Amino acid sequence: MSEHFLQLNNYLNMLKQSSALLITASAATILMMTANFDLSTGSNLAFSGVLYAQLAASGLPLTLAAAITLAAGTCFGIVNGILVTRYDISPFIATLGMLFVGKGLALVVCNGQSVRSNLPDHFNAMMSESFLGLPVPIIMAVVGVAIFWILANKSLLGKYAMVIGSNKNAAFFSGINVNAICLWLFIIVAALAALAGIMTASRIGAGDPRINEFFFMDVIVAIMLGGTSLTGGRGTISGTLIAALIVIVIGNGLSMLNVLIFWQSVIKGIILIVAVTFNEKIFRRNGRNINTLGSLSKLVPLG
Amino acid sequence: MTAHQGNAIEIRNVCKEFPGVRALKDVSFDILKNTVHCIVGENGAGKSTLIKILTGAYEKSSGEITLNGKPFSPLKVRDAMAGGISVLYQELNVVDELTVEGNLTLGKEKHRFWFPAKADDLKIAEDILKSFDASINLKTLVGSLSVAQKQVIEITKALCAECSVLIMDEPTAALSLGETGKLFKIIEQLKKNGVTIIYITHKLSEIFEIGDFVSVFKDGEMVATQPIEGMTGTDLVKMMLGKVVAESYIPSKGDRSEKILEVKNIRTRKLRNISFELYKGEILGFYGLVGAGKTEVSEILYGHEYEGEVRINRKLANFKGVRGAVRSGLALVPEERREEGIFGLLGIRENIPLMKLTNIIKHGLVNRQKDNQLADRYIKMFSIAARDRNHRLALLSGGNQQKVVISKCLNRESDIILMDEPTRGVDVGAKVEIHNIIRELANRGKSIIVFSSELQEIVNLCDRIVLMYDGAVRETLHNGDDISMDHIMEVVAGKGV
Repeated sequence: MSEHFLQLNNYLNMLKQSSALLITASAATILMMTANFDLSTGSNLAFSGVLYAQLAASGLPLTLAAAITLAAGTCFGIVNGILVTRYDISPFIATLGMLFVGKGLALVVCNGQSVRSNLPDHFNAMMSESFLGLPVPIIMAVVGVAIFWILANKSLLGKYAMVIGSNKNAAFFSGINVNAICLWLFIIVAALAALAGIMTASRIGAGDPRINEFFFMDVIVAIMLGGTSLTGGRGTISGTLIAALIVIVIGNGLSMLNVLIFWQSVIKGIILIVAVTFNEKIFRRNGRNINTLGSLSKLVPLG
Repeated sequence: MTAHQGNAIEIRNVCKEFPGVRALKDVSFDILKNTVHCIVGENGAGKSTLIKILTGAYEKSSGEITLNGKPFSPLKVRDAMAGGISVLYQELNVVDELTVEGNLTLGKEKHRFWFPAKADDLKIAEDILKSFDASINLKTLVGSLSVAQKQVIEITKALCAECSVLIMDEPTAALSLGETGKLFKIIEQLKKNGVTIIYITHKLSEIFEIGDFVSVFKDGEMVATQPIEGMTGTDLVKMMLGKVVAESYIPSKGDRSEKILEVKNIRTRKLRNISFELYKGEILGFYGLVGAGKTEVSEILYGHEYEGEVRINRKLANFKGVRGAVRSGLALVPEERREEGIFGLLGIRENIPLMKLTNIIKHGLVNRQKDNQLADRYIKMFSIAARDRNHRLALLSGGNQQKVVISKCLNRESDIILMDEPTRGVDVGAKVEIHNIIRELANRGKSIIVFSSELQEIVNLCDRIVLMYDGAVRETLHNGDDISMDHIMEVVAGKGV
């Protein structure tokens, strides 16, 4: 009995820890469907977390601090989006640049020191409290994933994102404003990364400029493992969700098996390469929209 | 100019300039309401540029366009759509990952806050779709359809837009004869319903079947706009080609009796039983309108797959791919020079030896001295106008670039040189120089095949001329004083087929 309880508790903890990843990866899935991607989410998260903590420590109410942080983090998306859509810079270069800018800004904001002192008592309330018996971060993750699932599957944004990634000319000649849609998606992803920063800061109860350095990698691993192609045109939120959970569970399970953290990274890398290779192989052979986890997601009643 | 009651579109002095190129020069003509107005011209004549201006994909540099009497200058594709212009593009613009229904509504979905408001009314679209091909289901994924079916989806998409002007860019390229017939019936119907149709095609027979007017484009200019009634195919081809004079043909001096290449009954998806032969020291010309199959013939010789027989020096050539073709003694001066012929960021010195690097290698390393000598030899031989041998190819003029490409092929010491549009994008002076180079090569015993869509070039240059129409060789002529332009034009226009 206590063993089961422990297990459930363990899973809840994993979900809590990974809620930020789930939300950001869901948003970034729609972006990657247009054949764009954002490498700066990790830096954005670190910057936003530190900024949020710094503002809170300076005595601002938490809601105001969060609002300012979200606005600042969203600027990453505006810059990325404008560079990619207006100036035709490849998303790799634009967002890699912003990765370094954000990394530096995170250190600038806090002068290189984690923000731990002077934080209000309820600073980590958001991530530790429950609502209707469910931990808030899990509610946020579920709501976030649900919103992006609806956007991807039911709204024109999802349809257009897929069309842009699949056949940009067709989108253009059908009168779809390709640039505006890509710009908005960059902005949405950045806003979610900033939210992830706030969530992470409140979970660990501090603003740490060096936190989650490989967050952006986890986001991209989850998306690609979930069957979204780097070249766009196909992808599912449910695939991303399952892939993100697999990544998290494997990481957690390996920790419990006392597998050294260094090896976890090696295993994650191998899983990514194997899964994506299979994906592309199967995709090419059938020439249709079939992918390992994407088709898996049809078996699981997630959508 | 006052607006006429009956003009759907009036185009006045429209120009379009791209950096370094004038794609449209002072184009003016009217398109009458409720007519099918055909536009013809070779590739690069400016048809597509005009269409892109009408659809808002390009902005015109100067000039005026009116649509139904009102000034019209769309800045976005949506502007043109809102103005009542609908387009059927040449390239397939369907999205494989969407269903048929998703494609038909793409970009026109009724929505509220980005969520589809209600199911779009597809009754009209479905009727049009079924009239072409009853087997297409609205819920089918487009990726699983055939090319012709995809084309049908495109046509349906364009037809069900509420438009006053419908532009069709080679709509029958992927259609069967039966489907083409259905399309023509629908065009007739649309005309009755008050839709003006701009129809772009390379198939002259279609113009006579459905056209009311035709505008001929050549080198970015509108050559003539005339009613179809009372016009013959030959008239039209003459308008397309301009004045051609047979005066400067100089026969090559070699004995031309040794057969070097023999092609027998080549068949591919596009080509039908192509046979011809090439002799040592001969310039053989392939001539036909766009889509007749010239490019495909050059591709076959350069390693594409085919059925049939190719013999080089009597030996069966069963090579595969470009490497095999080059080893068998063939070299190609490609049509798309910038993309396929030159290495723009490298100098002349680096470009010339690329097809045969052993010429400049000593002890396994590139020998700078040999390299320089080689470059200097060709620069002198062809009087390539360049600062020095390190001059970057991208910075040379088109004619000089082409001379470097020819040098590259000569360095390979190939016996047979294929030249696809050897003087496209080259100015008049350089054209003459390149023609002289080609003649000189033939005199020195090289065999040359020229593929050109310029009749003047073919009759000036070639000893024998192969006329193509619709994927087949129609006739092979010996060049000489008695060659008849009218006859050539009739053959390539498909008369008597």
